[in-house]
Amino acid sequence: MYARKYADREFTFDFATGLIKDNLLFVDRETQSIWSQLDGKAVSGPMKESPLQVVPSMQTTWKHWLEMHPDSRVMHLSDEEGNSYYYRSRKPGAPKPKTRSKKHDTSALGLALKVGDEAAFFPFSELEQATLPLKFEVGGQELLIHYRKDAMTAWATDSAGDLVTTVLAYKFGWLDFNPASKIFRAKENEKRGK
Amino acid sequence: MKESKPIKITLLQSIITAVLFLTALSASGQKDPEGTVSRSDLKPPKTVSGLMQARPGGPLEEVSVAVHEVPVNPPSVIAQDSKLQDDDLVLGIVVAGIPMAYPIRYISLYEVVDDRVGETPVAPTW
Repeated sequence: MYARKYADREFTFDFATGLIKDNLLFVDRETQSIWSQLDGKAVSGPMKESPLQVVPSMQTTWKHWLEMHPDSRVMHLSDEEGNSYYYRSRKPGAPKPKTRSKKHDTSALGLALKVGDEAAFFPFSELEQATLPLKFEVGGQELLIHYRKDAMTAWATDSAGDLVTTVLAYKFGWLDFNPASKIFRAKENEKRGK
Repeated sequence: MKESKPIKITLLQSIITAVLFLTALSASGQKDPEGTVSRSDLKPPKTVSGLMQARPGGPLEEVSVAVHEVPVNPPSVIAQDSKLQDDDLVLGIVVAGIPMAYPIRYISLYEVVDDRVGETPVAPTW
């Protein structure tokens, strides 16, 4: 999640169908620069190398989000009759799929974050084995890492309890952009703590 | 009759002011009070060219790729009107105390959306 602003200039992004490092690209209407989704920087055009500010966000289930924010508004797309768009259907009002997978492939998914120049990745499969919330230092900052399997999410907070900028990403995608990233291992971490 | 002229001018001025205001609101791409979809006055290019992969796993090469227009300031509803299921995934943010959720089922249709929460222009992406 990004703020659509750089140096007091606001941008309107659309989806460019090419890729860089197998990651999505945006193009802005104002300068037609091309931006990398995961890197949050323009890769070409007049805004090349300009970084976007990340807005701390949380990916989680609707139930979990509502528990935390019962007064939340939610984006809603519907056709003229008010029928919702359904997942992966571009047609408004398409009937809800009869069978919908309850599973979410978390085998390569994890929580990724960067503090200064130091990057860290916490695979969900490792967080499942960790004592939570997990105290972990990244870039000289002590963070608390949270994980909820039932809500399919993880997030990080700082010492004040505020949400830290993170992203849920696939390990291979994160490492493409951050090859020196630390990878959290529950057992190694436990040994170090003893 | 003599006194009716200033009244007519006042009404005309009011209409012009309202039209100018609505035009400015529309052009600025701001969300209107009804929450209907409004769009930026700028349109996206149909294609962009550059050093990119044309397909996953493909080589970096000079290509021209299609650009898909995405919603600007999409409508939102209160939680009770969302029709979401408990296990639907959302991207949630809190900006200046305002909580806002973006269902991944919608974001994944477009990959990125242009919205505004409070005074902050945001781009949820997935």
